[in-house]
Amino acid sequence: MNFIMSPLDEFKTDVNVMLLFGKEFRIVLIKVLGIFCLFLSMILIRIFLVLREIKTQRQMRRIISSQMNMKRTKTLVVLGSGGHTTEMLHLLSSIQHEEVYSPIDYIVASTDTTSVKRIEALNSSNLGKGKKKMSLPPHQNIYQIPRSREVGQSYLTSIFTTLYSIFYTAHLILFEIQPDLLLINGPGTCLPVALWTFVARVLRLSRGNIIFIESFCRVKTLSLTGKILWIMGITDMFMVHWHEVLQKDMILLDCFIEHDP
Amino acid sequence: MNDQQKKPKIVFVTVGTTLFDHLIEEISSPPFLSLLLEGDFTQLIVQYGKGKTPLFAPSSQEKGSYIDPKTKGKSLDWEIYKFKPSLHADMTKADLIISHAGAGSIMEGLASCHERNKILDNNERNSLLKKLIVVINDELMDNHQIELAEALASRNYLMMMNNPIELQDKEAFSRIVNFVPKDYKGGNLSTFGSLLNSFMGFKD
Repeated sequence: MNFIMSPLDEFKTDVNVMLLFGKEFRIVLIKVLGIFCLFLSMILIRIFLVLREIKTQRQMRRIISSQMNMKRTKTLVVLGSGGHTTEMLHLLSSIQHEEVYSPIDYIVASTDTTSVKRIEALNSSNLGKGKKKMSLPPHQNIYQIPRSREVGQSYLTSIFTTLYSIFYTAHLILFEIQPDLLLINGPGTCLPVALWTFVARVLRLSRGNIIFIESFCRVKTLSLTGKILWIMGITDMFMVHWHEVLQKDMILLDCFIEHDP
Repeated sequence: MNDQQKKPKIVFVTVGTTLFDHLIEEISSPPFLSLLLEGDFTQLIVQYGKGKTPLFAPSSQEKGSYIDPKTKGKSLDWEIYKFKPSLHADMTKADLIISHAGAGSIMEGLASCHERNKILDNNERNSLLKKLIVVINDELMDNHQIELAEALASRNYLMMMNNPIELQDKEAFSRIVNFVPKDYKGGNLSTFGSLLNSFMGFKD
């Protein structure tokens, strides 16, 4: 017998193994496969329906009626660090009716301690009333997620840390937070959070609406994060700050600069 | 006349947390310093970040005075530092801000120009107008922050220079002197809150 098996030989042995188990096993196998296919097609249909719903909401700029019977809007904000955090905190300070968006949770990268300090400093309960200073709606939890790759980390170990980061985020979004409304403005660290929020929506774990605000610095081109989210079509509102990058169904913000009519 | 000469006229140069040695070289070059003196500036404050100290500053000295050999008698007080927790005080003091193209510095600069310019009456407008000049770091390739500076410059909020070397140029400097910026009033921050509320299905 030849020790090198051709693909055909492999197939033959597979058939032989199946014959070994007899007819009943094959029936069970077909049933399992059938259920799996049915399940898969249900998921695919659900994803299609959710994406269509998101598109409608993006065009109407509001939640469609089937989602209106809400008791709470668990809001999750991802703070990207540096300039992204600055922009997000400014936008959040403009929220009125903060009781609607409650409870509010934050996600920051585990190495980003400045963002945590800034949230605490701007928290409305820590500021005296009557001051006209910027203040944030009260929040509940600040979650820290591990970074997929630290600066200078080797690529081999970063495979494991990336996997760890993805599963950690999955557990956090699908089981702990289950956000109804997700506010993100980049950079790439917010992508896994957005994806798992979409999964939560597909699985009906939460309403999982996603709002993305492009950075004010992006005048002519979208950021990579923005492009990915726009192509996937999982954002219910996609906001930009400049005419130059505005596309159909995106929203032009005038939060940081007034636009000429 | 005497009063006007005594009134300080301050230039503030900032590079934020970046390394921008070329800008620091140009602003400490004798041609630029004499242009400042000709323009009646009395003080130069430089936040030079990670880079080299300005040429006119002897080692480990943070304050001093520069006397130009050409324009006799006139002198320029200077003050240099690497970083400060807040640049707000120096931004506010300044009559001319020369900044790198970082978004944070640009927006802070524009806001501080607005704070000054909104209280000027029409008589003072042209002589006392506070301006922001943004200098692009020519040594940085693929610098997407240029986008923001370009967009704001094309709308006349600030003046942009593509290369620090232009600062030595007499014509470019007279363009700075004659530049009349559009007032940056900021935006309507509340738009975001209202959009969010209408998304959730109720009006303000």
